[in-house]
Amino acid sequence: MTEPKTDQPSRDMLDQEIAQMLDKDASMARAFARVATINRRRHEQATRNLSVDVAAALTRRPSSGRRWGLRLGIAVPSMAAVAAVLYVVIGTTPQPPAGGTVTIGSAETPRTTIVAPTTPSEAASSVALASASKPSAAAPASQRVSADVIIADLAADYVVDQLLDARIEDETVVRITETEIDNLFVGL
Amino acid sequence: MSAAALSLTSDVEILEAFRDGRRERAATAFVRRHQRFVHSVAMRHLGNTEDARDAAQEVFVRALQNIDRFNGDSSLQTWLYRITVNVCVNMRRKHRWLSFFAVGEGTDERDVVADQVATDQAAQDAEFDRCFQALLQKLPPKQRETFCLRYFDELSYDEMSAMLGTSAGALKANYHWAVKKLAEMLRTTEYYHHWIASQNHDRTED
Repeated sequence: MTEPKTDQPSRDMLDQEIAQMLDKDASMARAFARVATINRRRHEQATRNLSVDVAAALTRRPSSGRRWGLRLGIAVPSMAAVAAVLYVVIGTTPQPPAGGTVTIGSAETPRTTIVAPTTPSEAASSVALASASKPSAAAPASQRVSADVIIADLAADYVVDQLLDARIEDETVVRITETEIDNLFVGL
Repeated sequence: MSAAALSLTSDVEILEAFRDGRRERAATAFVRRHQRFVHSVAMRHLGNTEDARDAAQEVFVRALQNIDRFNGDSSLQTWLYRITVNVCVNMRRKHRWLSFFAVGEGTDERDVVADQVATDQAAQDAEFDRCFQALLQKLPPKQRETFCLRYFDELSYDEMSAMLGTSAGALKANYHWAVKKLAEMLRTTEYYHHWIASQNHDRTED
């Protein structure tokens, strides 16, 4: 790895740069410098002992990215769970992994593989599939809506977490086991 | 935390220390070297210091769990920037979920400097900070991020270009306009005029 930032600016250089841009308005330049000082102090205070906290977190956390308690008292058909995952991957992932795949099942025996859509029309049809697959229990409509929202958000948290790990690991395939999906959605 | 970690002053040295098995020392140096930057980025995305600190911890845990896979295609700082943005987006999503159950407080209010009530100076700083942050929010997002990465986080244009996927030339223009607009807006605030007056008063007394 090459050491970056050969033109890394110093604080003085930045302040001079600002002064130039402000046509040498000394008062305004001082105001900018002051806010830089305040900003720096804030972040220094906030990150005090962060390395200790990070070290502690590393020792108590398994390597898996999964960490949130994602169990709620809701039972959902597997297909709805898959659809919800699909829906969320498509609809709300900040950087949708177009063309990437999400495999439900083990690596050896994948049961369902979802290819993330690459076009808006593909996404629209997938969302329609997700909507059609959502649970249609005999509960009041308001409760069904709530369940959908919960499912979508739970799936979003989980899948985005997996995708984030995948990006870090520079992989394009995210594998989620069926057990994990079940644990995610089946009630306590 | 060891003082030895302080001797690792560059990313290259830190990565070498990881490879050599001096992992604890390397991890400490890694966090210390980049913590202010990560917190700064997280703060802009999350709006309060507590969440930003949680995000920073999460970013470093993720990064350290995957540091052996870091292949050096980008700088460590660019890599951390991407992880930070993703973690923050994820946290905001989680907050929405928590607010659904009314479990979390979920405030979007920006914190002020932690020691704001400690002294008059700190209170003034906090007020100035609030004023400036409010002006920053009025900038277009790209200009705001460019200004913050350059002026607060002290990054080079090349580094910013790698992070934001924008040419150095465009970033320079963004930065220029951001500074001009901020100054223009600041001049119109009552706070700035009070501050100028107090500065002149202090100088007269000196």
